Amino acid sequence: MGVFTDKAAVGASDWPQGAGETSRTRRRRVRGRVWRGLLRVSTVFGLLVLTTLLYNVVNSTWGYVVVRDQLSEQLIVLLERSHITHAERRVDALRMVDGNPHAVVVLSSQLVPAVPDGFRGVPIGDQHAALALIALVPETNRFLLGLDETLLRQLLRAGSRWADLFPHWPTESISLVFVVDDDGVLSRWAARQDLPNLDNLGTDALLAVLETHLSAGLLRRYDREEPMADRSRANLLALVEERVKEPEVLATFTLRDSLVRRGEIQAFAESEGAIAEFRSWLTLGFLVRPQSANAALSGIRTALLGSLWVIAITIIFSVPLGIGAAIYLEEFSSRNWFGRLVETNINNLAGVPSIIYGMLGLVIFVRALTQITSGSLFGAVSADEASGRTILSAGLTLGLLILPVIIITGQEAIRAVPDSLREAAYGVGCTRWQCVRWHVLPMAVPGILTGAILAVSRALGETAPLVVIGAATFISVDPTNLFAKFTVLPIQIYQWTARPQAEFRNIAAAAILVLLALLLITNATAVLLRNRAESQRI
Amino acid sequence: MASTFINGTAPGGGYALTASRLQVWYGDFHAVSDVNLEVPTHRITAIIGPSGCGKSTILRTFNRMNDLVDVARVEGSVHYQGVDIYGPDVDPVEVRRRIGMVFQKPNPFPKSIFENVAWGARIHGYKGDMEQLVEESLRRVVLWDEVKDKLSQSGLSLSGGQQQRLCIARAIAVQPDIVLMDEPCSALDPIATLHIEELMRDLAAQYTIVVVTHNMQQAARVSDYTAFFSVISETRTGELVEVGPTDRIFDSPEDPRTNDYITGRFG
Ligand SMILES: Nc1ncnc2c1ncn2[C@@H]1O[C@H](COP(=O)(O)OP(=O)(O)OP(=O)(O)O)[C@@H](O)[C@H]1O
Ligand SMILES: [Mg+2]
Repeated sequence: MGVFTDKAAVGASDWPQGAGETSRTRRRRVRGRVWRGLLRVSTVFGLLVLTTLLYNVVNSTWGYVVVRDQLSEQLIVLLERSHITHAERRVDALRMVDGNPHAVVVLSSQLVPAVPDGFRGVPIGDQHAALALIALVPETNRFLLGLDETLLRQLLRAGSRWADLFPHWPTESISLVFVVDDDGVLSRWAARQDLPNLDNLGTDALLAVLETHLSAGLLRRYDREEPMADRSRANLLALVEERVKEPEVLATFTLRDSLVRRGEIQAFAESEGAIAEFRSWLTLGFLVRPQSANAALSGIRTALLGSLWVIAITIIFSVPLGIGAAIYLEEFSSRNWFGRLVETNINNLAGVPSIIYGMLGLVIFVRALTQITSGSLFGAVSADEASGRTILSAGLTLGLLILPVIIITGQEAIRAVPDSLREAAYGVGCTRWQCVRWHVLPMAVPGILTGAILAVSRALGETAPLVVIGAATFISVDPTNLFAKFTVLPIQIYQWTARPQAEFRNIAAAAILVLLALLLITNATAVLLRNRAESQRI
Repeated sequence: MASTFINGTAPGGGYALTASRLQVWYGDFHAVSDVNLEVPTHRITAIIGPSGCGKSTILRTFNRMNDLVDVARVEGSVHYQGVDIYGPDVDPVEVRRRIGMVFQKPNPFPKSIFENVAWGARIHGYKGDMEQLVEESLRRVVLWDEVKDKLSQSGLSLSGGQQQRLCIARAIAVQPDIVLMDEPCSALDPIATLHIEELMRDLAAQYTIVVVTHNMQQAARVSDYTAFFSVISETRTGELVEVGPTDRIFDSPEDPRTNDYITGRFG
């Protein structure tokens, strides 16, 4: 029985009655609840997917990494201070340490004959040794022969002067110990912590270090990219880190592993004679370092700058054009068959796969307009520099890609302005343009902006069309003008994820975070602009 | 080149607007047929008639507002100051500056109250004291005292009746000759309606007013002349049935359809 009874009216039997009505109402409510549940599930699912994505990225961006340097910073500095002009790290190093009062070289007996005259047979404690502190160690001296790196470090920590070790040794303080193997390779060393590191080296010193350690061929290659003499100190430092210090990443661990399996990781590092350090792959350095073949030293500076350049061109090209077209189509063009044809076409263009735009850009901007896009027409760059595969081409191609979207969203925003406002304006006798300029546009700006920014965000994340028009795969020089070669963040991310080495996945994750941050900034700017436009409208 | 129109009241008194053989189509739909109507200067002319008979359509032809409707097509002529406003040399912008319009729904600009009134004058290149013009216009519609302290606030922050008065102030700020009003009180309560009606009577001293209304009492109260439109039931085309001094139309209508309508036996 229902709660309420109907008045006995004509046709009352056509309506559900009593219990029938109640159960019907309940069923309607249940249906509503089911829908609400479904909607909630889809929201939760979306959130879940987003969280997983973010978790994955964050998981790879922070974590332990086990690294072993080929050459320590201290050694590099010391070698540099000793004016080494030779690339080889062989026993000739002895000569280089000659005159350095703070070094001792520990040699095995087999090498003793190879030692230059001045050093032969000089016993510890001798006046010469007091100057150079070079020890030639006979096989019988088990203590020094058995020096491994750990022992060396202990030794350096325990005593600050040689005399602390053996009373008859000199009183000079210990700063560095070399251990030279039988084959003459400088194999182990240890240094006191206060020895200067790379940061203390100036531009000239860094240049010298590079010339010492890099092969002539490699030097030439770098010189072609950008003359060594013109490079900044930061750039040189990065090169030294990459090519001379050559840290080798033995293993990387995810954030989760780093938190859960810390002991294992430390043990592993110890067994490898390397150090485990907790590393954030996303650092300020990562943002400002150029690209590099070594993941640990690679940065996204070039890709980030490339993205900014390209997106600037895209915005300058497509936003005014798109908004202009939207205004024209909505406010000025007459609605005849031609106008409808144009609109249908624009709608279809918005759905064309982006790779097609890449092909279009390749044909038009890269090939047909090479003269312009390579800058050779303006005498900016030599034609072979990047041919038409430049920032300009990329920006214009992405501009074409998002132009239809900007037009369509712009039209929507303009169409949403109520006609009563237009009538009010025309009613006081304004022209069409005055109406558009003073009433329609101010109302439509927030909507237009939202559409444009969404389109620009899409362009920021585009990869395919840029691959087609030929983004560079490796550049370590900043793009400085429209006609430079370029790479952009998504392409960089793609390339890094495709590398076999695990550590590239870490920097790819860091780069993804940077891209996400960039998108967030773009959208936040849109919201700000939008709010400003809305508040100005009173 | 001299403007097509002169400012101020038309010389020779008589009629401010003369519509002859006026017809309007919306696409294929013949909305209004063959209207011959004279609007006397400095009088209030009311247009009444059942819904859908083309009152708004006719009113909008008087200042070429129908130009904005893509499908609308107008035939015949509307003479203003001896010039056909549909003539080839006439710019609708100049027409609308002299024949202003107030709409059924209050539609202030989403700008400040001051700007609502000043904007029209500004785009027409008014060189006088803008603040004085705004104050005068607002005083004329009896809104000044209510808004003088908040001229920089949004026009949309006013009440419906205030908004409508603001719209009237906006219309008269450009010093038009004729003010067209399309059901200006339909969204207002009786008090606000009374305000607007008083205002119309006031304005009639200086302006020619054409007002569309559904409210028979209103037509009887405020108008000097009344035009009754009706609709031909087969084609839904509107036509002018009868026009004359309001007293005569209400007391002794010539056409039985008018009689039926004003006595409430129709629609
Ligand atoms: N923009 C338009 N496009 C097509 N037909 C229209 C348009 N505007 C009005 N009409 C038609 O023209 C006829 C007259 O409309 P109009 O608005 O002039 O009527 P009205 O007399 O003002 O009615 P109401 O009293 O309800 O406002 C109606 O049949 C309407 O459907
Ligand atoms: Mg109407």
